Amino acid sequence: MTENLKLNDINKIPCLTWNWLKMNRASLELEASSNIISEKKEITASKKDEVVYLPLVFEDGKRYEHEQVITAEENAEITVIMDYTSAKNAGGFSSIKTKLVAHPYSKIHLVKVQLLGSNYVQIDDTAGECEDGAKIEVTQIELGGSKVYAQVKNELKGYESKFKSDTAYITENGQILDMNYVVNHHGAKTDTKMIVKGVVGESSLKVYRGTIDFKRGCTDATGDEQEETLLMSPTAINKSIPMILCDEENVAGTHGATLGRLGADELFYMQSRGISEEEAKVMMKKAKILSVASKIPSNAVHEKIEKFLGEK
Amino acid sequence: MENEKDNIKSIDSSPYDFRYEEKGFYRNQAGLTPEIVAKLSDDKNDPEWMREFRQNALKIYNELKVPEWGPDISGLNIDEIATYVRPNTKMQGKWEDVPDDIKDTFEKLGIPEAERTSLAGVGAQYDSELVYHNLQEEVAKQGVIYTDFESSLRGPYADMVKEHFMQLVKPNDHKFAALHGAVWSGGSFVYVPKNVKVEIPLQSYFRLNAKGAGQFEHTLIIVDEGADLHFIEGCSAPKYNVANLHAGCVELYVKKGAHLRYSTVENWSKNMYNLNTKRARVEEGGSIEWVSGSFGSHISYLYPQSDLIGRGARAEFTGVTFAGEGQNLDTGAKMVHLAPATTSLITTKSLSKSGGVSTYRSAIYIGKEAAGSKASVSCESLMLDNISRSDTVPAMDIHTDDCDVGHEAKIGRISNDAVFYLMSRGISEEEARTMIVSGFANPVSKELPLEYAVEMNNLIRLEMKGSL
Repeated sequence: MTENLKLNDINKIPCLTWNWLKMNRASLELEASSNIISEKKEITASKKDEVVYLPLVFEDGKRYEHEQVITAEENAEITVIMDYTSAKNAGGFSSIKTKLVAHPYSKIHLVKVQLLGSNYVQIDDTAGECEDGAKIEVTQIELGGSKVYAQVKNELKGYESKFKSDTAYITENGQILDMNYVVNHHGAKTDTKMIVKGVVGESSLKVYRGTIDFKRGCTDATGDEQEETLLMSPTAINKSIPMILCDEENVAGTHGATLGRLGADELFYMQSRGISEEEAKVMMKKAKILSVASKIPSNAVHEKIEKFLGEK
Repeated sequence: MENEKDNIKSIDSSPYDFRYEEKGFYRNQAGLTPEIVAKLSDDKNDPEWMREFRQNALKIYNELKVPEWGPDISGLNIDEIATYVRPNTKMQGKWEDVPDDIKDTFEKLGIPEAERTSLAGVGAQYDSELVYHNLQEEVAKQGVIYTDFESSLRGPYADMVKEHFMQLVKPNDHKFAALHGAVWSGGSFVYVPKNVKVEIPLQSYFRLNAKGAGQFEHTLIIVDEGADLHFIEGCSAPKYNVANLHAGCVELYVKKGAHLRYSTVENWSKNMYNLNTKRARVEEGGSIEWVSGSFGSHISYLYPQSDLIGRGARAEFTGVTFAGEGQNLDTGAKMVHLAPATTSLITTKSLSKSGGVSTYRSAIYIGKEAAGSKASVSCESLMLDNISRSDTVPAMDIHTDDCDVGHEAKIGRISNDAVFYLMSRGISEEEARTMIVSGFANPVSKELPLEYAVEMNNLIRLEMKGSL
């Protein structure tokens, strides 16, 4: 009998805290399997304005390991749009590993849109590195799956390199979404902006760990992370831990978080315009997602998102 | 000038850095064994339940591990710590009856003067025992009880004390709560009857004079329904080149509609491992305010926790932490909302300089039964040079949608523009930076009685000397 595969230390936070909060890390147990569909892709950009679309379709009952290495050469710019889709109630496991290498003064915009079936389990790992003047931007939308573990780690090694992320999600009906964003500032005048917004619905769990780490030597670096969470059910569970770690004097770091339900004033305003409470909630959910989706340069992907939201 | 700066760095605690010999003192064997704990029970003439309690706590201590998070405490070797050092005096009710060296200690610290001018009662602990305890007659007539903890185990409040002792902070909470349960000594019991307002603060002051020793005082305060109390604690110790340990425990019960303000100015010496646990339980309509200034210790783990268990209960934490050379201070607060319409507010300021490490760590827990609750956290950190470190680790764990939680944090350095502005008005750079830092800490100091605010500002001033 084959033993189950136990994955510990998923999305482990850089600076641990009280264990009773159950936020230090995630763990997952999977049935062991040797029947894995693997694929590796390498994409290199050498010009400006390159756009690559990488749709990944996952079948029911299958197991996938997908790897991508995306490199932008000096002064190049590339947008890579990845979406993960499956049948509505499909189940399976997928592991995605994406490596981003941004050479001097280049830009990589990575888009990941997760529209998996309600029984899918996914681990999605993105790791980036920026050289002088380079910029990495990640736009991430998480809507499906039963258990999704998403991690984005970025090293701002070069002078004036930048990282920006916009993430939106909806969790409901028992979903687990576990996120870990870490940006390490090494170079001087580096900058980070992280925005996470979403909705936590019925019986679901969302964990967000966001870390800005100013390493010694990153003079004049700046970092800001903001989280907005709409709680839409008394059975929703939200765990957030936005951290700033600082080993350098001459920096400025800020973070802010607001968590709560639809305000009474907002609801009253909408109801006074003939919109029911249920409709208002649906509108607010969509608004959170579409505000991030607007950064995706693909009408086809917008349509997929709207369709998924309509069916959710 | 260079020598003066170096000298200044090391005299930052000089007003507190004096010591006396342990003439005629009793010191137990260093280390921690069932026999040592049993001897402590003998020395203290513990009731039977307390003897068993200590031994059970020791078992728990041996089973639990040191946490995997937080500053490194591998430099603390419990086998080298004497857990009980008894001064050569019984507890007195008049300062004249306290032995000269001990009395001089507290005179230098300003305690008798503070008692005369602004306190309703004082408990002064020297090493492991209280040496002085007094309560103003007018306050005693209101029915307020303020005794040393050992007496409370046997007096008319023995049953109340037994019912509450280490029920908020249980020995299995963490390893150093268990240690406290095994070797606690000294501390105070306070009871404020229903609807009694104690107009003037009570204070306990803890002085650890002994080298290579620990202080494990237990403070239990019960503020009954509708009552009001301000309790202040202060602490200090001379610096040695070996580790000292403080693993005290504070348990606060705030009953329905009552109010308690608990203020602390912590200035342990920089060889101290400060592993203190403080917890409050607030019933319906009650409120607790924590005011905390942390300036001392080599390593500190300090996170006062407020359990809001009654509808409308409220907690507020205001704190400032200043980590200087050789210090790693991990401080913050925990707010646990377990009832509807509870509110909490955390406001903290952290400073780090001369290689100090300051970590702000917090937890907001909103349970599913805490509908209508609100929580707000604001933490600001100031780095005063490029060899120090400042981390913020705030966590929010929310189990209901009917709540409002807001959090904001900032990390940065002293604004060059602000320094320039002050210098352009004829203020030296060092004074300008000191003013800015004092202003930064003002939200905390303004919550303290004047004498303690002055002490806090003086501590900041001492820390800032030689910062350029």
